[in-house]
Amino acid sequence: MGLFGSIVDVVFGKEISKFEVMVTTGMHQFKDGANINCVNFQFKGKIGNSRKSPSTIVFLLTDSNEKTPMLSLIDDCRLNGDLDPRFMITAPLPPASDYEGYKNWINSGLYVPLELIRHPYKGSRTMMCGSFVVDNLSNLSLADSWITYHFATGNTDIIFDDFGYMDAHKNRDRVKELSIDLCMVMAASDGSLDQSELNIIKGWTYRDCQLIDDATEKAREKEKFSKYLKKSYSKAKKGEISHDHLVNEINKICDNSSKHNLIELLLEVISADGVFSSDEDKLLNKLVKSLDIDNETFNAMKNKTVLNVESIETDNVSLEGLLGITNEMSKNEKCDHLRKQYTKWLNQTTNRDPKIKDRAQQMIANISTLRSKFGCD
Amino acid sequence: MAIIGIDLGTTYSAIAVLDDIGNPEVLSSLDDSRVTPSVVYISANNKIIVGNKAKSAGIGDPNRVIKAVKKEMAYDDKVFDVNKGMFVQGNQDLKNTYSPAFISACILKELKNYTQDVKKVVVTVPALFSDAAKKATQDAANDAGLEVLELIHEPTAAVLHYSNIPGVNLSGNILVFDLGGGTFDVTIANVQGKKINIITSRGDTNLGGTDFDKEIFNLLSEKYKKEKGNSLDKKNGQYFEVAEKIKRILSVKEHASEVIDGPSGPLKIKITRDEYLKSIDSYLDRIKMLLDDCLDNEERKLQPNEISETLLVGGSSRTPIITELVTKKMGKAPVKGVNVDEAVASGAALYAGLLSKDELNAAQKDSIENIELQDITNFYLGTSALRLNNATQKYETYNSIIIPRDTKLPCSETKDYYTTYDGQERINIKVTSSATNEENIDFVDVIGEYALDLPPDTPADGRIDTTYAYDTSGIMHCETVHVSSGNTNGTDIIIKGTSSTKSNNDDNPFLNFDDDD
Repeated sequence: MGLFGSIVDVVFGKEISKFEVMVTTGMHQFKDGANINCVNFQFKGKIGNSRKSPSTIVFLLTDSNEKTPMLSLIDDCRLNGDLDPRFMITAPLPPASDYEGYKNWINSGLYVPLELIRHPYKGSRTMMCGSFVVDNLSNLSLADSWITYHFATGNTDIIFDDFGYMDAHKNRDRVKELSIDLCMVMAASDGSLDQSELNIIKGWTYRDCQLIDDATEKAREKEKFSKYLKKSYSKAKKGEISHDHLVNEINKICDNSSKHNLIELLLEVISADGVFSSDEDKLLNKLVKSLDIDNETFNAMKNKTVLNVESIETDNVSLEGLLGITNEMSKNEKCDHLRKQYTKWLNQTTNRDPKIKDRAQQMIANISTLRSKFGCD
Repeated sequence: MAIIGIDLGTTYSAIAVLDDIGNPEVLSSLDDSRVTPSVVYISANNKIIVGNKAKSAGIGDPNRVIKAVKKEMAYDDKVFDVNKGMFVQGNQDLKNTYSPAFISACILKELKNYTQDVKKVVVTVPALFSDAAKKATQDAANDAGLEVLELIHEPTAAVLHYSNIPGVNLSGNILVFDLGGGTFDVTIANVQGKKINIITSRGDTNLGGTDFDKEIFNLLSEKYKKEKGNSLDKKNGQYFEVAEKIKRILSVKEHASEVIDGPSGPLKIKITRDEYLKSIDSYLDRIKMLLDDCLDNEERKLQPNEISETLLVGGSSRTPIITELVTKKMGKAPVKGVNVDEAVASGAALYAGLLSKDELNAAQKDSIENIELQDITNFYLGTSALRLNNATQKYETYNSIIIPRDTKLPCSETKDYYTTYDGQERINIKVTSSATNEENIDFVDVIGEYALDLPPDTPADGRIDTTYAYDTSGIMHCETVHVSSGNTNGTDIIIKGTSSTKSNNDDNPFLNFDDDD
């Protein structure tokens, strides 16, 4: 916990005045019409703001159960600048008398989309907001320099459906093993597990090890995964790995970003031998569905692979899967989706790379085949 | 000096002049044709023949006949190799090769000879022609001794012509359906009298009437092979002449029969309309999709009943199958009375007049004085930038749009970016172009690149302003500024693939026109 300890101590240290803060979550409609689940901050109490130097209110978010901070996914909402990922957001305080302060709840006007905040743990949690009224002369980007007049906390209960970063940290090694296994299954799905595919899996496995400074630890980590790679390779060759079992475990312990990274890795493995085979495509589509990956995000990832792979087995491959058509789509949705895919691939028919140009023509022909099948007019 | 507009088409080209009273007049060739086949024949002794004569001259020598060069204009790394009779890649230094721009220059020079005193011209290009193809077209015109006043999009030229036909007074949204020999464009413009506001355009630079001919050729070849055991040679232009003839017959009849003089002797082959329609079904589907996308897309939703009139342009649009398709899609028949072969050249001549007002006589000035044209960008223009992918939690390069498609011209847009790390020394700016609102960097064209050097010890998060300014002729000016230091770099014209009009034939390196051969 070391890195996060100091701010938690401050938050739970002492209250400065009768100042209250309320943190809530709920849907908020932005000016562009987007409806997004957001965190909102309100405050009230005897916090005068009539000094010559006005004050700013600072909000910090923490997982109250484990006293672990929420992290920001964007640079503008980070404590102590870029290197510290803890979530922080500020708002100017409107003028108020020293004697009266704010009798009623004042909305800070801040609505922070929850998707921009990285939580530590999955499940039902209490999110705590530590709020500081800080003199504007303070350097807001350096928490140690804050001149704090008031402090209060407010809680809200929230359910996080996805695994948090601490969950991911705890399960890191197992997630890596499962990813290796799944990649081996994918590589073997077309009947051959070749060196180019193995190189991709090896490269990915050892990538994290390169970041370890300590030579002994680095060697130990490499050895551990080297053993696992060999074991997984051997089992995959013999067909002894069940992808259903892997997916179940991945869903139990993997966060969304790890799942997306896994799909990216699987696409790399698929394209390693230059052929996008029908067996690989079928397995990939099945995995994407089982792992509950958003179809649009997956299609964007897949299109990159389809564009760059040497060949696609169009005779056998499911054209619907290749073009991102799902059974859940209505006829109109299928036709609309295919039209968008058409304009996307049309752009590539004038590509200077003849391989990409041919691929685009092939995809357009596939789109026409499907439109005809679905009776799009 | 003549005020000239040129429609440089894939299969046919035309040239029009603004007459003394300000009306566009399409000029005839020496053999009295108002359209000239965009065909070039280069003989073994390097004589260059253009048009109908090129078609005839090449009958016994098909490798030296160059057709549909317009489809190759975007590729500066391709040349026509007369030894192979086709466009090939990466052989710029070979003998007997000719760049697409050189071949287009031959056609333009031929058209130029239909009148005297031609210097400044407006040349038409498809709405979705890439910047590289536009640049190659300009190079070709310059090489033919023409000064390009501006390039104008073909559907824009067509609607300009239509709105200026005496007696026509337009009001509302006009859809221009332009199906030429090799390209297809669909444009919607709001027209009030002679005031034209282009709203949006879609296009496919690889779809046209020649694709229909190819499908008929394939049917002929299959049937010939079945009977005689041999396929037909696709380089033999005569078969395509027959295919084109069959296409015309099938426009009015249920079947067409022609005698094919193939490699294993003559054979009479019958093609039915059903066979033909089935063979071109995927092309018709692509046309429908582009029509739909033009009317109904992320930015706007127009119902067919919000279109006042549909104007058909381009030789391939006169086929009844196309008229039926448009009528069904739009809920009413397209407008008649506009010459589909000449509308584009005529509109280009009018536009040349607009750009040369000082050189017009009083009658010409009167004729065009009320014309107003507001054009748009047909591509999304952007740059590559870094961002955090929320799904993968990793930084990724994506295509950041600076000027959206359908922005009125001229336009200038600035977008802020930031340096990514302390001590960054340089920023490489990639200028991207895409026909769709595309974030995936792999799916966009990089049309230019330049670099901006940063001062020593530049901190992260330093603001970088990138400005794209697009003028009416479609030339883009790009500039990037590091705000705190004022360091600036940019370029006036960022177009990848400046085309060479070089002919790589040492014996006779440049144009040799000879009408007699």
